[in-house]
Amino acid sequence: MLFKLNLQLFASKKGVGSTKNGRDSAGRRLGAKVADGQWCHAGSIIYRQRGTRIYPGVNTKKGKDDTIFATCNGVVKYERSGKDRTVVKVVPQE
Amino acid sequence: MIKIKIGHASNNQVNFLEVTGHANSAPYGKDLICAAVSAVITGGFNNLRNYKSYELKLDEGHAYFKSNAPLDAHDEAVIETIICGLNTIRETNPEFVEVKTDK
Repeated sequence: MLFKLNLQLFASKKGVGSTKNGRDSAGRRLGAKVADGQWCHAGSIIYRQRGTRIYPGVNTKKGKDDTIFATCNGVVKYERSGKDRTVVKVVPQE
Repeated sequence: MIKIKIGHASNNQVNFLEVTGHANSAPYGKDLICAAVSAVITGGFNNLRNYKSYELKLDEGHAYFKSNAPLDAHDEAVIETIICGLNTIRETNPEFVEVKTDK
């Protein structure tokens, strides 16, 4: 026999599987909310994070979701502490 | 859409047949139109006696027949039967099969 029968010779392309992926959650807008040298109110959020990428320093506190916020009015300062740690503090200033 | 082109020689014999495209009437493996066209063409091409003297090709989505010399009675009947079969499929499924002839 010259040609073997392939009943799907003129069918559409081979069935392409579908993926079960393709979902993603919305971005959480993490990161710095007040830059270095910027003035901020007491209570204002300075840094949003997951875990402690930035550690709280003087006049700042860490919330239960690791958010760092100011505890007095003043200017924000980011500083290196030790080999690989960053600390943020607020220098009081009315 | 499966597209069928038919050409004739000066003596009114069919000397050219080309089938291209995809039926897309159902997912792969369930496409009845494609199965019908495939069967008609494969069976017909296999029945051609002087197949060595023709340009004959049968690939996925492409069937091709061309003869540079007049056909003998047997092969002419075979080609006519293939074309009749394809036209029969087209009549009931015009949205999936299109036939163009140079006559």
